[in-house]
Amino acid sequence: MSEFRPWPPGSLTGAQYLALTMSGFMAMGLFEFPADLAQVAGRAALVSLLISIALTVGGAAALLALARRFPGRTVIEYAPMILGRWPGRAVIAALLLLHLFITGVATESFTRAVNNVVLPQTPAAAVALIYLATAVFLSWIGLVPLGSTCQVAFPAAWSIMMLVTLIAVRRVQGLHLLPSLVPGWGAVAQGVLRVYYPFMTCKVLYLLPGFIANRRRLNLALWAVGVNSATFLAQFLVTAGILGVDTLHVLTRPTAFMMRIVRFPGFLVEHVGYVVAISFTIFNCLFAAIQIWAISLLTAGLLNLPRDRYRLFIGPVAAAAFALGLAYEDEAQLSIQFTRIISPAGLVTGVLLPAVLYLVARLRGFKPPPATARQQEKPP
Amino acid sequence: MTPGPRAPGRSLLALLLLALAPLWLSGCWDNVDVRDRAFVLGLGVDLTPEGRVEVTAQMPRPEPGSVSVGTHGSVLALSAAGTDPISALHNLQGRVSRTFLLGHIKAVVLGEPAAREPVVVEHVVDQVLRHPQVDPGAFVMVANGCRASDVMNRGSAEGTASALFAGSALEKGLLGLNVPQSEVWQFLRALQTPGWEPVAIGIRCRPDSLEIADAAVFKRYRMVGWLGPRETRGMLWLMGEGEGSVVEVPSPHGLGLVLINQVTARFRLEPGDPPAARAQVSVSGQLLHKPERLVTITHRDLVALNSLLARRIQLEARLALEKLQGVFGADSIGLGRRFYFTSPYFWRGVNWEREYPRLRVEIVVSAEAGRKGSLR
Repeated sequence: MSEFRPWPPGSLTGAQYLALTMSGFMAMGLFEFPADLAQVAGRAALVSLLISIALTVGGAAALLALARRFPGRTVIEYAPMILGRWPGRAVIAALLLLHLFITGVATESFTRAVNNVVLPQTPAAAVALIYLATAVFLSWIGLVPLGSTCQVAFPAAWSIMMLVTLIAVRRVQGLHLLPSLVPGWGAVAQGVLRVYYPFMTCKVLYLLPGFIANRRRLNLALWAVGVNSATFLAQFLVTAGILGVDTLHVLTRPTAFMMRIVRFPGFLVEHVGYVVAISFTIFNCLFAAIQIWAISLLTAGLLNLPRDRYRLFIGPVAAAAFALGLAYEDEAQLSIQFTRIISPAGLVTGVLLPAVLYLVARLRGFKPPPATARQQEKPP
Repeated sequence: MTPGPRAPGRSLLALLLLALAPLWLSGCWDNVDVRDRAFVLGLGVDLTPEGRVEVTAQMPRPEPGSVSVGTHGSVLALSAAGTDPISALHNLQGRVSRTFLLGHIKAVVLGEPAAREPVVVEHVVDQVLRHPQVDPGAFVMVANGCRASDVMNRGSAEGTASALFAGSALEKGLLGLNVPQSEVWQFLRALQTPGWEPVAIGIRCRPDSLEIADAAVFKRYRMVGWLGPRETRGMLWLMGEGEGSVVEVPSPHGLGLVLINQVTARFRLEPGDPPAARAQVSVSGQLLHKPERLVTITHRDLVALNSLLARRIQLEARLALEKLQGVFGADSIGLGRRFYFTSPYFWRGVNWEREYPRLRVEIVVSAEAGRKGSLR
């Protein structure tokens, strides 16, 4: 590689790394995916979901194996080392564009959800601006403070959502959860191909492991993948268990809908919808902040600039996300972006590309540095 | 390991910003002062003689002494007609100075003629669930023997507004109501799930009050008839519901009363031609009133009483099933749904509309009213 300047080892603690991975993973279509999955795979939806989880764990394991072979480095450095200069740069450029596209779609998705559920008269541009401004500030403060923020904000927001999910379990009808392969394996495959988008954001593992201070904590990311996959699985099981797969696909946001019908009689607040709205906002802001950070970092890497110069690109990236986010005319058009573009692209970049990079790295003889060399590494 | 550099000030600021983000999002555009809001508690939907949809909105009276039309206690009910429920509501908004807030709607009451008109019911379900404010947990009710606007103009015996009365009584599951749970989302779920038809709660107008009783049976979006109190309870037994019911048990020693605390219903299905099902209903409860001619209750008396209770419950369940299968052809219990989920290959080749009336259902009831209170 080496026209890229060597970047100093990172300085994230294990907890910050874990919180950042979880925050970067959550929020993408969390409220929408049960509906799309039910529509595409029907009663085989649960089978598709389990296959998606297995693929995600495989993709994440491959990315972590790469991180172990290239300690202190991110995809920006190791992709050109493994594939050669121009193919490596093409990978970085593809990841950059995909991240940017996702951020635009996530902005639009958040704006539509806020407009539809609570603020119908507020202009979409105002909602998108507040959302992106919060995310810009969070990414501007730097990865370590962002990690510390995620350490507090993510568990708080996640606990609220899971508490509601747990309370909703009492309305689940076990009968509705019986999977069936009557729709056929074609439907199962379609379910994976079209509704992989909740899992694709494990792409943060192309970048985050390069910043961790203690490399023995790298595998914490697998816990993050496990927790987030379990969250998605729980959301699907509860929504499908209460409403039935056949009802799911006529709803826009089944998870949000489920949270509107859960009641806490005489406890906290009668309807938890507004409490969950706060969690939803926090998830989305953290997610957008990590996305903006990742895009800015990839841009700096592509231009061969040091890591800390990523801040130069935060403004333009946010402006591009804002423009992309307001480009869709309606929710139906937005939904197509998730199922037709983001999901297949997510499978390629989240599963196929890590596998290819890992295999080529092995074939080209890249090995993890010996333990003594690892011990000599000192964080800045 | 050396921990990374910390920037607690920036993190705190970031947390503060995150906490405030939901507040900023509320912005200025959607801000409506509470004094300018009309809190709608319930909606009544009727058909006019010309075939238009008339919506009656029940809301708290804004100020003491204000002029109101059709009042009950501290609420007023206003009506307007339109081509569909939401346009009727918009027409009504034109006559009210405050902006309707629909987030507090507890019940949507359909007049019986409106409930028998599929287009109206479809519009109600679609528009209620599509509206961002309306709670999908609002109850769907059908006015029995009166117009929905009459229900909106009345209240409970103690003077609570009808929508609040219905909402609170059903949410709290008041003892012995003996009506099915039917919130808007449950109505939609039954419509969407193969082999399941929706039901709605009946509400009767009394001279000075209202009474929640009976069940309105739907076939798709059309109401096809009523289940009386015993049939409604029979349907609940087969749904594994009916807790809080008080069952009268006639015995050779006089009338006993049993309060039902727990109900479960399990089904064993036999796909075939014709298909068959075995329903195992288990109830447990407490003796509230002993048969008069018994001095004390012995184990033998309880066994005999349980046997009579089981027979009584079986009879009610049979009554409900006969009416649903034979008269209405509506699978309100969702027996078809059970075949759909457990025997998908059988379901793929079956026409449930045709098979449901032929379905043989064996009902087996086990009852255990073991608790007899502080008296022997």
